[in-house]
Amino acid sequence: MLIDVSTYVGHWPFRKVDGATLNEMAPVLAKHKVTHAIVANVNAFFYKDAMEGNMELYEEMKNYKGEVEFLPFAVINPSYINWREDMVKCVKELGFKGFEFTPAYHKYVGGNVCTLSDPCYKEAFKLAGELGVPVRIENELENYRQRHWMESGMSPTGDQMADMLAASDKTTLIIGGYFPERLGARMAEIVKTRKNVFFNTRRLDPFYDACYWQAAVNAVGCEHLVFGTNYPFTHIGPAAVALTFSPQTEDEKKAIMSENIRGYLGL
Amino acid sequence: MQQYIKEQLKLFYDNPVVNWHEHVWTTDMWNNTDPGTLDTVRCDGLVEFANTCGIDKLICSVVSVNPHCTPKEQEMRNNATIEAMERHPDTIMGMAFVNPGNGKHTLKEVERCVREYGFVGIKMYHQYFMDDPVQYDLVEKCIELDVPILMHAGKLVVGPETQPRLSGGEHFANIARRYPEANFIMAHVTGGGDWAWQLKGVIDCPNVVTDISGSVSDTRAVEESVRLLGAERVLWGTDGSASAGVGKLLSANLTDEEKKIILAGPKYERFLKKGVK
Repeated sequence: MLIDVSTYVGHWPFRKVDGATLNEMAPVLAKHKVTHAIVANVNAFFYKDAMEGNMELYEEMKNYKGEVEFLPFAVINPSYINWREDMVKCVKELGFKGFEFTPAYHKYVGGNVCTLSDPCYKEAFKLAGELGVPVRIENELENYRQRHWMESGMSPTGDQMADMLAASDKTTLIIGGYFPERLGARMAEIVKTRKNVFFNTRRLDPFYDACYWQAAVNAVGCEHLVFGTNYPFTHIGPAAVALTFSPQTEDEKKAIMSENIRGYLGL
Repeated sequence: MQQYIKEQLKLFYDNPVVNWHEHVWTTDMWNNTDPGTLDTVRCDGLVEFANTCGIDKLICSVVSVNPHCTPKEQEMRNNATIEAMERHPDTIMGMAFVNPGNGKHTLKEVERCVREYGFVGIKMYHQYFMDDPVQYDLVEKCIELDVPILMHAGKLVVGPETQPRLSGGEHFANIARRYPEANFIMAHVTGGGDWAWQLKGVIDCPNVVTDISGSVSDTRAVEESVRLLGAERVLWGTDGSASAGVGKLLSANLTDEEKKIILAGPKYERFLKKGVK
């Protein structure tokens, strides 16, 4: 089993991205031996009502018959009307397996910047735990140096994650696109005391130079790492090469590929 | 997955592979007065990576980010590259790092590195734009010595003030048209920044190639490089991002023949032969 915790469908408005549908992604993921993939619809980042994007993914899932098992995550904007009802509906009626929070794109509450530290995100995080599903947050679907000028450029900080995590120790959090050792003292403390916080490996490199892989392992331990690629924004190869040549044991690699997270995804 | 990656890596193991953009470091890399000698641990790690992934040649330099890099500093940094070349003579080849602002000292340093030590080209950072008139004598020296010019490049959308003399595709196009007989490498099209801008800027400049080193592994970036420039004008490299460099090429939606061309860099092969001492 190989679980990719970081894939997307939908239209990215800032550059052309090919193949961002379930049917187009599945063969590429399967070629790299991915068996399961968490997927969200980026359209829901940009629609005022994120649920419209979630419904698109729901419809796409109904027509998908490929060999990779996709685990749909619903994008939730907890500053938008009726978001609680939407969360319940997504899990209980539509079969979504988790949620994605994107404060970089859903940053308004009464005209003010909204972050993971805000009460609405804390409440949504807590509700996800009560519904028994994880939350995913991703940093930089595109590298910050090439962001389109209409992108917000605001990524959640470690302290904001820590604020949100404090709202519930039942809810699982999957964090993508960060170097775990750079998220600050509070996050470092949190991973020592709870198991259900995971970091995907898509930016980690085990070879020479800064040895980001080793730094991440030292900071949070293998048990908090999960395999993720950010496909189709980013090629799958880099994350696959990094894991293949990482200094971990075969058992540790297996844990990163699937065993660490599978139980939290109901697999 | 691991088995699949190792099978894919036969492309590297079974074919000539030249990494046209890498760096060795010194023991005090950020000290502009005395950067020290070769960081042998990092250097050996680089060669270990090359051996693991089937890379035949690492073209390396020691750069300075110092906007006022002196003749002495550039010489000390190049001495560290020489040390790396002597430490791993079968694998490491040198690019002479120079600051064009050092005028005749820089021309002399290029002569020293190329003629005495077999460096295969020169490497510049963002001390000056690629098309700044201060470059003209240096470019003419490189034409005379028949060595390519690798220049740090990018089109930053965020934080352009951090590198105010960072060369974009337009700067390469200007200098390439002025010196059609010179050979320019527009560095790391996937090194962060707007890669489409960079590629569009040099489409019509056959004497400009690019390398695909850097941490950015965007889908379509390598593919667009090949579509717009042709595989012969795309060199392979890593520039400190090993897994990204290997992985993005393995996963790129290109033919094996196109990938082999990128890995071998046939358009630049003659520069390597000249560099062998």
